[in-house]
Amino acid sequence: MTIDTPIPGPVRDLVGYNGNPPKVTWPGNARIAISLVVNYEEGSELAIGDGDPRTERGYHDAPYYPWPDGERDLASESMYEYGSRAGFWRLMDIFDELNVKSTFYACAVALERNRDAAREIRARGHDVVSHGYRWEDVTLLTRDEERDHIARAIASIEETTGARPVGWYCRYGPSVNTRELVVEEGGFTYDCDAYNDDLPLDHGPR
Amino acid sequence: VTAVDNTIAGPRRDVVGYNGKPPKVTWPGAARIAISLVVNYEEGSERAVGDGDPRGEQGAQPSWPASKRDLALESLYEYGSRVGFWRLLAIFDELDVKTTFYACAVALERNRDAAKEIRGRGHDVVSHGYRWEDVVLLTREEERDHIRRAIASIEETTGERPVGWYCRYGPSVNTRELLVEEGGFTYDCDAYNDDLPYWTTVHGTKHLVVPYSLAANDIKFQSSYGSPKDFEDYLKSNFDRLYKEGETYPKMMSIGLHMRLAGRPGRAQGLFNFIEYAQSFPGVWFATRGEIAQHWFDHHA
Repeated sequence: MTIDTPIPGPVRDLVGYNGNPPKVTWPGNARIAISLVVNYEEGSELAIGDGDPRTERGYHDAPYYPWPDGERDLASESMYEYGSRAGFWRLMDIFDELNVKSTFYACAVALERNRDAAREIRARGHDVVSHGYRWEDVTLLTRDEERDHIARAIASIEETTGARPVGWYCRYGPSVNTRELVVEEGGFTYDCDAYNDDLPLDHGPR
Repeated sequence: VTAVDNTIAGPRRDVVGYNGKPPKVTWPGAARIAISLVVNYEEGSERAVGDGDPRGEQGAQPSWPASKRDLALESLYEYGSRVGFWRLLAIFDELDVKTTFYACAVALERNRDAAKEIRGRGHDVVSHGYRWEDVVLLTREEERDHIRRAIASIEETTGERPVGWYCRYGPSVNTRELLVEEGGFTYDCDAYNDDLPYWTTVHGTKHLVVPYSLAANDIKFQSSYGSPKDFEDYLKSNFDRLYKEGETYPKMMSIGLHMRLAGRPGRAQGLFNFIEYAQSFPGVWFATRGEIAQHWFDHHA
């Protein structure tokens, strides 16, 4: 029922629970579990100032606007900064006011650049999942580079937030190596690198 | 001269059609509108590096190297066959409507319980190709071979051979000829150019076309639809107009769905709302495309 491929990476599973999902009893017999996730990326995106060949130019409010590749895009940088400077605190206030706990997908370098915010996350009862060392496409890394980035992310997030992350979520999608590396590294209880189900699922021992 | 005369390959264009005078259709139960819900079953047959394709489908990240597996995108598709399929089936059962599945053969081979469930619950199957592929990239012989493979595979996985055909996006100049040559097909849906089925001729053989729609189609969540309400509103507006016209000239309304898109809960609720809305009117016939084609054979041949 699954596709066997000789190529590296996880085998696809197009069937999953096959129409028979487990009957879940959430705490308090809740009918739905809602996971609010805040992606903490601002400060770790592609930026000329960080040695990248170009600055991240999308995924914010402005429509596409032509810009020379090698030049800093200060407008784009600024729109990102709004997130860590203003958006972060607004969302925290809303969560407090409505008394909900959320999960932060946090990029290590972004937290290093906003240390008070980093401390505030767990202090206010929220959860931290590693969203990578930087907000980067891991498929562009070699296996060894990716392993190194995972190790650096763990150490950095442990330092900035006070606890090591036990969950992992890549930017957009994992490489064919990510899940293996996360298991090899150890200390992770889950990853979120899937969009293919309404419920968690156990991939079993690997 | 109402049709375009040309000497290039493929069907002649017909930019006139019913010429403002569509036939007066009497749908079963004197319905004012025939609604054809179509579920595109593609997941598992899309372009994928793991299936030997040089590149996968276009994902959300333009920077993603085309030759590498895009596990996020694979996963987004898998949601359709794992979860969306079952959600849509449950909605159709709850509201008691029968639909048509445009099914890619390889996708069904990779989810055999689902394949059996389609006809098992009374839905219709139209072949959507061997894989979800651009047939225009195939030679005529390759395309013929893929048509044959699709027929055999779908017959095996669903228990019946398909009698309708719909390509990914659009046919090649050869597709309709190949379908007629192959035989056993009573219609194809490779047209977007009318509100009613119509007859055409392929080398002297009469052939039925049941046109489809990319307007009332959840694929627009990839471009123009934002909220599920956009989709629901478009469907309701489309229905309102055709229902009004149907007082004198009943029409057909095709609705395109994708399990990985409409199968997500928020959008599925929009679809549910639309079906309930349409069912609140008298004279509405939810029909499979097979039923609509049969009606045309019986009353408009």
